[in-house]
Amino acid sequence: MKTKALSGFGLGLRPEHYLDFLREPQRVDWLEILTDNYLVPGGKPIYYLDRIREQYPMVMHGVAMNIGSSDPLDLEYIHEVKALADRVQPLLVSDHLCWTGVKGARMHDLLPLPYTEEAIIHVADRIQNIQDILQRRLVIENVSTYLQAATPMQEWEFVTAIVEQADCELLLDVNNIYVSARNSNFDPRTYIDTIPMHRVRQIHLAGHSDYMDHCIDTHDQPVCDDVWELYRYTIERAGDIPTMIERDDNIPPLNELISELDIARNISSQALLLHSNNLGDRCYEAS
Amino acid sequence: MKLREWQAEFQNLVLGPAVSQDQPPEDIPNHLDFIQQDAIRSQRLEIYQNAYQQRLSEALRSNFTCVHELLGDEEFYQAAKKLILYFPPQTASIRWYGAHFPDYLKNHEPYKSCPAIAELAQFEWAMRHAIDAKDAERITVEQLEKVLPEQWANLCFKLHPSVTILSLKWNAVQVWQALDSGLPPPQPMEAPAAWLIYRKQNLMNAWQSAEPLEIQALEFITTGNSFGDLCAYLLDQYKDSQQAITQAAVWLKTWTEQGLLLKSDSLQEGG
Repeated sequence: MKTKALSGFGLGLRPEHYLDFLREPQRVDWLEILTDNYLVPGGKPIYYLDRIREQYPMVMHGVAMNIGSSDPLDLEYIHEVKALADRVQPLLVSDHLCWTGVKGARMHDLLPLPYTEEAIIHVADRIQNIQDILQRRLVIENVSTYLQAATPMQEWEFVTAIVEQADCELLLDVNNIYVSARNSNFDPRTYIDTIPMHRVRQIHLAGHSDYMDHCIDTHDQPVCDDVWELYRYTIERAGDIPTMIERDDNIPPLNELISELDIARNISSQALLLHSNNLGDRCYEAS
Repeated sequence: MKLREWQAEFQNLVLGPAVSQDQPPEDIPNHLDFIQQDAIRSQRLEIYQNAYQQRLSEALRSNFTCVHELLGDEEFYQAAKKLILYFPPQTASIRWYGAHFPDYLKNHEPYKSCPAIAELAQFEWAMRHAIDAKDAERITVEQLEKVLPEQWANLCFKLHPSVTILSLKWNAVQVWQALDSGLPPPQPMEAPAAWLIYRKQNLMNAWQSAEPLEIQALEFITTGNSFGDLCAYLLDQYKDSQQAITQAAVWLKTWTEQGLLLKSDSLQEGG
């Protein structure tokens, strides 16, 4: 079982590509599994998970921890995630900075939080409880939003406060920043400039649907040019961060996704040169 | 406004059209303030409303591909919309959404008047269950062959967790087979049969019909009764002890070859 530190470029593991990964080695450094797809008793999903895990480092990414809800934590679910993590030995366990239902409802959607002090305290406290159960730092991902509560706080301030207070880590979804920026009319570079980059452990890239006056995070098409540019901007400032492409619908053959991942590799290596120069300039100025 | 109130209100807005399905979405109350201007709030809220319906409908469609094929997009979406209304999701994982769909189709018009649709859904849910049911060590013919003569009477068995036994009155499985192969389905007709659906050792799903007495025998021996009890049970049916024992042995071998039975504690001790 490969368990080296997370680095390089990954893809989301999808059943359509199970046999490709088992047939021959693929140019993918690591794989992200959708946690919820493997919280099943056994059978095919677990069989393929175990076989592919023998060949690739993995990270786990969930959608149902309901981190931001004002309902009590679903401890049974979190213990199931822990049991799966014990089996998979992932390099990271992540879920989303959002809520997925309240008053017992399961909305199966990533709903937006109001950016308030009350929510910061509430969510940070819950993340700490989850981390205690998982016995590891949780990695939380910023979500795409379509409505933003009118509060004096900005999303990047909210995210920063939570990760600092909870002492957790970040999965920066560059596409989600772009989508939310378009929908809430802010400069996505301000987000990138402000977020505590030393806590970012992983980057997500994905495609979305652009309806001119708004965008929807659909993960059903290639990454667009604007998001590539924002990714370049991120790496120039943050340096090397493990990056992957998410595709959840309209899934192409694996080689198409690997080619798309090559674009990320190229942009990253170009941006890292500039990042090094920037670092050099800063050192020079400091001396 | 407290977080809990804010979330409850936001959730009500997302569920609004589902709760009052024939009415237009409610306007966002003034006490939930968003940075988006009034003119685009409804459009943005609709994104969340559509996502809720579409995600659940999509989960149903992937679990009930042939019911979807049979009903067509529009009718399936209408059925899904009603199911979401009657049975909103209860579990953290969307994988389990759809458990109530066969019952819903069985008890609600216009599907109720064509019971083959509900039975098709029952069959597809059993197939879905077989895919990711718990793994468990199955008994093998080689293990049975090592059983000592004096141990046979007390042997007990359990069903593999992937097995579902269905008693269907209609030709739902034939309809499924046609649809799954991309062929026009036969007309629904009464065709009572018992079906075994399970996952084979090679992880592929299997389904086959069985005679009612075989199903009764399988259920009998996997619910706490021993092989000796099964022979006695069959003796009541056949009135011939040799025939009863032979039939019990034949079935036991068949079930073992099919991978339907788990290794029993009594066998582990003896074998």
